[in-house]
Amino acid sequence: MLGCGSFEAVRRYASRSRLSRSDWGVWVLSNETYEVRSRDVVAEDFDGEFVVLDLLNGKYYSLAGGAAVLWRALLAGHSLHSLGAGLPAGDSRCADAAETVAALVANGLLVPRSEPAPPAPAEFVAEFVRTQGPYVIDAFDDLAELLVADPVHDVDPEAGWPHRPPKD
Amino acid sequence: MRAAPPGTAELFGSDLLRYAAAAGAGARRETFRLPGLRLDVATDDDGYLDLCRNALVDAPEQAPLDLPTLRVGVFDYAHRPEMPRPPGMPMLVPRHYADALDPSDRDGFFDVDYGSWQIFDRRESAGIEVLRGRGHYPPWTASFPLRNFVHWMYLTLGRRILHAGSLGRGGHGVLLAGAGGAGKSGTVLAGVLGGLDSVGDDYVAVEVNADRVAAYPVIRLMKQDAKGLRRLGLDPAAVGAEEPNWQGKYEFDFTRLARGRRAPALAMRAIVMPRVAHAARSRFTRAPSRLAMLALAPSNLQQLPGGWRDSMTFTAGLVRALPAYFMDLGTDPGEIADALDAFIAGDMP
Repeated sequence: MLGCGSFEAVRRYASRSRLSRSDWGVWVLSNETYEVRSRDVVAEDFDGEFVVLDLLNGKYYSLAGGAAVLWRALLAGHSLHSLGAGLPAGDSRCADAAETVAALVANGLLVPRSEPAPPAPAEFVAEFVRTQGPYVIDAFDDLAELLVADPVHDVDPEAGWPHRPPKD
Repeated sequence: MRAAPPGTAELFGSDLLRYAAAAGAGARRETFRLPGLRLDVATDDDGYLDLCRNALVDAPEQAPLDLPTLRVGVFDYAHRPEMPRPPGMPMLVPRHYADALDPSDRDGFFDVDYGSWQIFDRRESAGIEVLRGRGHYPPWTASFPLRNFVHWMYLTLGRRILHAGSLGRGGHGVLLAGAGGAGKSGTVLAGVLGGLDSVGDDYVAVEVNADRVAAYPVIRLMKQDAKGLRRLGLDPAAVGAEEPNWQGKYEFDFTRLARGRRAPALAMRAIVMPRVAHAARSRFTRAPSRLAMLALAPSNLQQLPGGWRDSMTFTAGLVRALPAYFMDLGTDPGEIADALDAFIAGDMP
C-alpha cells in the first residue's frame, strides 16, 4: 500500500518499478510508530542533538540535523506520515527521512510499536518541514570490545571461563 | 562449554570479600586521603604501596576522620595460595560480569591478560584485588592504582572520576577534554608552566550540583612524552622522571615544576576541547554540547568499568551544565597559558 507501507516494502516496490528516489521517497512516509529497543539504548539530548549509546553492542551514535529532529519526533510518538504532511510531493527529504528511520531500525536503536500515531502537533510538523537536513548519523564502535566482545579467545571447554586451555 | 551453576560469579566474589576482610589484619596498611574519601589499603606488597604513594593525592585537609572509608586488600596467589580460586564459569564479558554482580550491590572486573580480579561491595565499601603474583598487574596501574575501586566508591557517594584535564585560577577553572593526540596534556602542562592551577591532567573527581560543577584532585601525576616536554622547554630530568612509562611518556608530579599549584578544588566554568591548529594565536569558539559529550563519554565508559548507564547520564548532566568550546591552539606555550588565563577569568566568547 503506497504511502503507508514499510520502508523496505516500498523500496522493493520502487526498485522493481525502476522509480527514482525522489519519486518513491514521498510514498515511504509510513504510519508506523517507533520506540527505543530496550533500556540498553540510552539517549541524551543536547540542545536538540543526541548522543545514543547501545549498551548491548557498545556502539554509540551522534545524531544531528534532520536525524535529531526525527529522533525527537519519533520518540514523542509521531509517524513519518503525520510529520511529513506538510512537505510537497517529491520533496527529497521524504526519502532522506525514510532512510534515516530505516538506519535507526537496522542498527537496533528503534523498533516498531503497535500503537497508532497521534496527529503530530503543529510544532513537530513545522520543525520537520523547516529542517533542511542533513540527516546525519555518525556511528562509533570503539567501545564494542569493552562491553560485548569476548576478551578470551580460547577457553578451556571443561573448566570454562576464565581458564585458558593448556598449551601444546 | 560447561554450564556454570547459578550465581557462580557472585559466590566467588563473596568468597574473595570474606577472605579480604579476614586477611587485612596480617597485611601492611596505609591510608590515603582523597577528596571526600579515605582509602585504606592493605597488602603484602611494599611495591604496591609505593605505587599508591607515588600516584595518589594524599590531602589531609580533604578527608577528616568522619568521612567514608574505602577498604581495599591487594593480595596475590603466589604469596597466598590459600585464597579462593575462580571456578569455571561461562564466558563473561565485562558488562555481563558487572550485570551478574549488580543485584548483590557489587561491582567487579576481570583482567583477562593479567588474570587479576577486582571485586567491590558497595554496602561494605570494601574490595579486593587479586593478582597472580607480586607485581603482576598492567603497567598503567602505576598511573592510577586502585582506579576502579575509587571509581566504584565515588559512584556510591554521588561523585565521579572523570577522564579529563583541568586548569584554573583563583578557584575557578575549565575541564579539558579530547581524544589522545588532541593536545589535552600539552595544554595542561603549558597552563601549569604559565602559573595556572590544576586538579589533574588525566583524571579528576567531579561533583555536579544544581548550580556548581566542582572538580577535585585524585592523582598527582601528569604525563608527557619527551617530544612534548622539549616543546615546552623541559627535559625528563627537570621533571624528576627517570624512565618513560609503557606509553613512552614520562610521569611526574607537576608541582615539582614550582609553577602552577595543585588546587584543592576548582569550580568549573566550561569544557574546553583543544585542537592542534598551529595558529598564530589561540582562539576559542563555541562548540555543540553533543561534541563535548563525544569527547568525554567514550573514554570514561571505556576506562571506568561498571555503572555505564549512570556514567552516561552523569556525563550528560555535566555537559549540559557547562558551555563547551573548541580551543584552536597557538604555537607558543606562554600565549596558550595567557589565553586560558583570560578565558577562565571570564573572557568567554
